[in-house]
Amino acid sequence: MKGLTASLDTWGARPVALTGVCGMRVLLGFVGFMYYVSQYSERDYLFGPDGVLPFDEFKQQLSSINLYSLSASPAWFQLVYHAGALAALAVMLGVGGRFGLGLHWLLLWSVYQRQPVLLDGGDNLAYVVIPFLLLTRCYERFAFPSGFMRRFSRRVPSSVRDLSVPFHNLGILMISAQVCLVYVVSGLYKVMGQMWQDGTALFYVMRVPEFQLPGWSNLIYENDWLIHLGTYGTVIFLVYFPLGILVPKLRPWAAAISVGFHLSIAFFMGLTSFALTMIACDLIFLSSTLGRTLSWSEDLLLRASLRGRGSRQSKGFQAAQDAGVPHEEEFIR
Amino acid sequence: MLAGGALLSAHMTMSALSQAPLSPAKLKYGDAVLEYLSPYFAQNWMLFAPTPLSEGRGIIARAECTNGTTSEFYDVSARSLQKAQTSRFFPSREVRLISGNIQQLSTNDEVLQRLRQNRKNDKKPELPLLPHEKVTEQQAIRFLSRYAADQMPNACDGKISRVQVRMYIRDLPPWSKRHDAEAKDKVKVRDFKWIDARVLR
Repeated sequence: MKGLTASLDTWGARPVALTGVCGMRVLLGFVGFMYYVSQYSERDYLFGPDGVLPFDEFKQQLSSINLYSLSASPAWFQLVYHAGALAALAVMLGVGGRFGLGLHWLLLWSVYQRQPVLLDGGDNLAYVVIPFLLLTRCYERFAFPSGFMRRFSRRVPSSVRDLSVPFHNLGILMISAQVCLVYVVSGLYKVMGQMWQDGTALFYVMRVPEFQLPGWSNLIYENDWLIHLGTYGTVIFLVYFPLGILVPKLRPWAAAISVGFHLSIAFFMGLTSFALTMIACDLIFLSSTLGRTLSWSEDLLLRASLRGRGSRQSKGFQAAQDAGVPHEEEFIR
Repeated sequence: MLAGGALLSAHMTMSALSQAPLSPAKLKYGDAVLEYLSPYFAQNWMLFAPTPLSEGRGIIARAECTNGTTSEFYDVSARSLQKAQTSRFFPSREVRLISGNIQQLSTNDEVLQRLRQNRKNDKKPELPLLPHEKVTEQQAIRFLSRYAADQMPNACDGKISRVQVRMYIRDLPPWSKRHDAEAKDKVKVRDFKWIDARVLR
């Protein structure tokens, strides 16, 4: 019992996976921003009041809150769309704090539901995890410092501020659980499917025109060994992912495999935003690796710039190295 | 703190139950869970599972002109497919306007799916579409017709009176015939009803 209280205490005192969750916020902001940018030239047709889903029909089918449904005027549509892009950019750059993140969620939800047939699992994961992200201190790193927010947080009573670490850790736990649910569910349903059992699912999926990369996909689907390896590898990886996450020693490896897996999905199947959203969520499991990589590359940059200036300032170099990003410990032991 | 943790684990349990296969527990609590989760936490993680998409799906369409003649069929899917395939950095999602609406034509209600499958296995007559399924189907057909009409502005020199969409499902040669040069695609089609161009806009 004493051990339990003690571990609860430490768990409530130290924010876990801080670097990772900040990286996750940056990447999710980027993917959200790219949703607006990549469809910018087609926005009127895809999302506009006189587009392929006219305003009246959209409103009739709508069953949730939506900023685009407030007015049928094209000017309002342009305003909301551009505001959405800016909000996503602010999340990526780390401006606006939790308020900005909440606003981004509202705008993103609105643009998603303005044309729901465009959505995939990545968008689904994004709108489900952003509320959990609101619990975390995901603006602590990779963010433009904003004087306003600092002044604001000083005004918050200390009893509320003390809750920030436990809330943060709960948020991380929720994101981890959600990601594990995604992998396990998609893995177990694959186990139930004939094509996945046969080890031929990849052969079928990769020839579907919508998910094909001409000139490349055939290199995989014409090779029996690659098909079997890829199909069974996918199922095994997805089903066992949570185990890899639970064991601290396996954690970075599970996350690294996931990153590789999703990068190949992005390349072969053209699902860039789906893949990057999944990778963003993996970052919380790669927190310490991310921290180490960053301080290492910072060192490298410093060393390079100092070498340019000559060796006279080698004392300064040592000081700068000491001030590098602190190494972060693994989360949940 | 513990209360917060309990609330969050209740939330996660419901998310998990919503993703479980059909079961007695899900029949009993599924509706309540769905009511809690949707719309903002609605989720579906059956990604390419249990049976992945394995065929090419798309639409072609023809128009009836105001002067009474009928145009040739036009390949509506080709352009958006090309757009999806030519980029690897956030490629165009326009092709999903078609594939997404084709998907809307079949129900995603697990109970109905199970019922239809059982009737098929028992060789009983097919269950007709329920009223809400008919509404969804009509919405999807209307959407596809409007998209098709927009994609063929040159048909009938721009004077279209009606438009008809034909959906195709192209089965690619199976694994067992992967080395068979003679193997051909099997194509199934479904013609939707003619729709008046004036009601589309």
